[in-house]
Amino acid sequence: MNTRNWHSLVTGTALLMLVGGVTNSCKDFLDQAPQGALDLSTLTTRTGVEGLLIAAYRSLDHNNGVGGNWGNAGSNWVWGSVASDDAYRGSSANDQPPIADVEVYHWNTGEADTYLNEKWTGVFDGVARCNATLRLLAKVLQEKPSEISASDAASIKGEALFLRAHFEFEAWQMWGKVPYYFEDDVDYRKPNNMSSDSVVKLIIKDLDDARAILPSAPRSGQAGRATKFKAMAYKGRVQVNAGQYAAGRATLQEVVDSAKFALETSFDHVWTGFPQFANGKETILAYNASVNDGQPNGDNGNWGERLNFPYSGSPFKCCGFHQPSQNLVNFFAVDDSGLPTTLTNPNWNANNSNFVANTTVAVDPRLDWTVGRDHVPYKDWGLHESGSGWVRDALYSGPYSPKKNVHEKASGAQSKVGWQPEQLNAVHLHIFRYADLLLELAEAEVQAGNLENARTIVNQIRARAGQMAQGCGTTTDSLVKAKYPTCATDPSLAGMAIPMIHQTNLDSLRTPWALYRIGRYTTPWTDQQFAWTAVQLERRLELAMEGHRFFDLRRWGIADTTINSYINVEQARRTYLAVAVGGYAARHREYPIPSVQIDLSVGGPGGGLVQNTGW
Amino acid sequence: MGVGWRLSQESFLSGSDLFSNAMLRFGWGITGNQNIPNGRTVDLYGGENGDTFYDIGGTGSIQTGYRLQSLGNPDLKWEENKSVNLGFDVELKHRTNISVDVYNRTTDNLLFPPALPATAGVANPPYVNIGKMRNRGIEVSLGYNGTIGEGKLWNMNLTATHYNNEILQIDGVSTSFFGPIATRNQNAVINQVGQPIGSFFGLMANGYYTDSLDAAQCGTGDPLGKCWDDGARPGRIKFVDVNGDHHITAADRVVIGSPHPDLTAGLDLGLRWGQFDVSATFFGSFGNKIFDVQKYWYVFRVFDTNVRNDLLTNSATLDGQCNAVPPPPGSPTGTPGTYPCPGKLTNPGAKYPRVDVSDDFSKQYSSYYIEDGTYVRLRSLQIAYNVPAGWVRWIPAARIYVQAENLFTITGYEGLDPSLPAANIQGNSQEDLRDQYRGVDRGSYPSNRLISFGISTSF
Repeated sequence: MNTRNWHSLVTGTALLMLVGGVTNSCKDFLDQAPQGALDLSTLTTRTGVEGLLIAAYRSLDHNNGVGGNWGNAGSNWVWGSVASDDAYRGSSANDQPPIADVEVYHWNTGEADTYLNEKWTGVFDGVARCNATLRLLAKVLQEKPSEISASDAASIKGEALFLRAHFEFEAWQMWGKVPYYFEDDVDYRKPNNMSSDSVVKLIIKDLDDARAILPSAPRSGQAGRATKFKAMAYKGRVQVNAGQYAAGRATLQEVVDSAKFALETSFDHVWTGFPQFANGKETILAYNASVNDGQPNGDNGNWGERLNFPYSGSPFKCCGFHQPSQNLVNFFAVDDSGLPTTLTNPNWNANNSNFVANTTVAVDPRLDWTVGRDHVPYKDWGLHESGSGWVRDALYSGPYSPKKNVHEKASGAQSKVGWQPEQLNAVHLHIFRYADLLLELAEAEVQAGNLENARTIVNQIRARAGQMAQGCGTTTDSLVKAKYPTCATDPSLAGMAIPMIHQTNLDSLRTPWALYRIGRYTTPWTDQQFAWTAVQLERRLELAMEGHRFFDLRRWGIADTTINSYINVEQARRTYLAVAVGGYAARHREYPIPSVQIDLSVGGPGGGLVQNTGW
Repeated sequence: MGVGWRLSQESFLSGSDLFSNAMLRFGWGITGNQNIPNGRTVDLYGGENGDTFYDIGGTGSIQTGYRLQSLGNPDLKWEENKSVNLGFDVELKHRTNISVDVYNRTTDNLLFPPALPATAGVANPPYVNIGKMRNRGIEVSLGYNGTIGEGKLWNMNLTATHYNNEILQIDGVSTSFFGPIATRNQNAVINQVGQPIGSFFGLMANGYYTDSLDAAQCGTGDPLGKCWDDGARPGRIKFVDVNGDHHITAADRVVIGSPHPDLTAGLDLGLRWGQFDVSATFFGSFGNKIFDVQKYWYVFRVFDTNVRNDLLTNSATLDGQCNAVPPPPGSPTGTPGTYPCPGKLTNPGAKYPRVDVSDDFSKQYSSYYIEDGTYVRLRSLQIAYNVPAGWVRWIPAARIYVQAENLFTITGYEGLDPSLPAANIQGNSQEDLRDQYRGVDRGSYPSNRLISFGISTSF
């Protein structure tokens, strides 16, 4: 350097100061909203409020705003299903390791932490979207009193409160002690120092408030919207999940008496891509997946479930996650009266080998709507064949595939765009359905000692399950025709869902691939423990693979014994599970709070978030 | 503002043969960085199909929705750079140039969007002028022009830089925030008060667990240790229980390295010998660390990828069993299997943890991923012959040369190339965030070795 350089340093500084003066005067420019974005004043309209509410509904399943992977799937398949005895992570040993950590109860690894953070972020972003709706609604009502009618305003508020209660319930179910956020909160580092019961009280209060102002029928006839009765139903769900059986029983009975909901006529109409069954009478809360709706990547479809399809040898191509366990498959065996073998036979879980198509072991027909197994028609897609690439690595995680979340070929519910569009569909994701509600009521009835009421409900569920069984699905597929020639010749077998033969208290059907049988409990229930067990078994049979099982085991207080004995047996079948032997401990009562959220809450009022016990 | 003092013109040096030029410099300044992202003074809402649109009627047609997409800050202002530098330039006998600069730059009101808790929603956080960062450094340049004899000239120029970066403050409350990219669910980078920007973050690896007791006791003889429950096993990577809670968890992660070099240096050499000339440029970076994310695949084999060719021969091995034994066939249902682990580690110096498909423990981001990124590279070498005018009648003059780029690199780094290109990373408002993601090897295309031969002339 020489003198010239320091001259330039001086002039440079002067020049920069000059630029500063110019730029300061341009500050108005900075205040302009960029194109495509809206500021709050533009949004202070009915359209704005409705738009914020729509976005809150969108949070029922994974969305691009939250991003991440499958930790935030609306179905809770990672947290509620893989963590239980229902399912394995599946796929292969080296894909999505965070889910493997969850499966073997290593919930505090860095990778599990990231998945937990996705769930936390997803549910609390949902809460934030609800609160944004409530805030803007109040602003519009104040500034433009004639913009929204009183009845619509009441519904909008009720819908937002209902959804907020749902997201807070999700958080409570995962973490127990969670902060509760209201529309007027400004500090987002609230502590989680409320008791778990206090959180439940706030959820119930939101649902009560929602119920008081929501209409009986969904606003504008749009089936996805919350109603008075959905809020009531959800309240009963929360009460039962919190162990408030007496209160829950009253709430749920009121819902049943309202006759606003009913079971679908047959089980195949519950999880389906056929649009005529979407938002049917069994739906209380579902994520309305949609495809071919203009979203270029199919992102509004079943995003959270997209990995959970048979592998490359199947029509779906990828990715083989969320595989049913051997334990679950064995669980569907029935005795001569069509009742679960698990009730009476201590060796019900003895079968270690691939439970392929056969007519020697009678099974509950729901098995073949829940689990893809070899040589059995897979809805209307042909035969499930793990040996032909339908399963990614059967030596690792067994030969079975998920089935409920898969669309029917004839339904047209498959996406035409997106990564692996074959796994993207418009199957609505049931979050809370009427069968779930009825079984919760049955639990409450058992707790109240009304065992016969519980038996009636369980039999109602079983009668519906006995309506239709898996049929050939296709009569043209060459593999189906070769394996089961009668598919082409016997019209009674040909459909995807075929009627069972109904006798008094027993439905059965012999097909070339299975002997289906399901019976009613005909002997009055007199023993409370028996009734309790029967309701628990029914809940698993009906709701398997739907993301509830882990939370059910936990609230029943049997997660430790059930899971540890499950692992002890299952590790002989799937050796990778050996690391999980004895892995479920007291601290698994709650999931750990994501460490990054604890860090971000530092300095908040009341000391921010405190980690759950044992983590 | 700057001040210079030309010592060589002072009376006490003016007659000196030694100092042909000598100057002392001092500079002080405050400059503003007006790089304020657009439209970030007000809250902005927006909608995106796939994020906020929803089929509320369940009929296959979606309705438009909006959410808060970014939080504004009406008080946004410039960043302020305060810098002080002190330097001197010396020229000795018109042959040797020495220049040294020492500086201290503090950036105040640093503009950035500190992460908000998820309970605030996923809107982009507001930009606030709250950060504070300091850069201190020294730059040295040394040049020499020499002659060996008639028509034989040589020169060299060495420049060396050392700097020290430290985040002094984030927002006065939080002490860290993650870098802009998480790779496969894990953050390798953190920005933490008291550490350089873009520091590497993870567990601290410390060899391998030697036996089952060691694994259970967190590798430290901790009698309350419960690390077995977290996945610790003999032959797996041993992590340090930093917070002493007898578990290995995400809360044990700390800063485990810096991508910033202790020293970078460039050396230009030139030699002219008659019609020949030779020039070479060396570059070296010393003391910087590389976070080799690729180990997630080629050591830990996520997605069943190919692995390093010495993985089988260089992995930790045990002298006995350490795996599950199912209950014997015919045992009553519910009979527990066992997990005997008498095996002890035989080779504590192994390069890789024990080969074990069930090992999701060792692959957590840790100092095991960190490598020394030091290297010296011959960036270019050119040997040329200048054809004198008149050799060829219709060519006035010509130069024939052989040039090589990246001829060799001396490094201990095992990845493809220690000279990682800057990652092109932008924030929510298109601001440049590459400083928060330096030195992470995600398998970028390595530098080419290029050898060219040329003639340049005119007609």
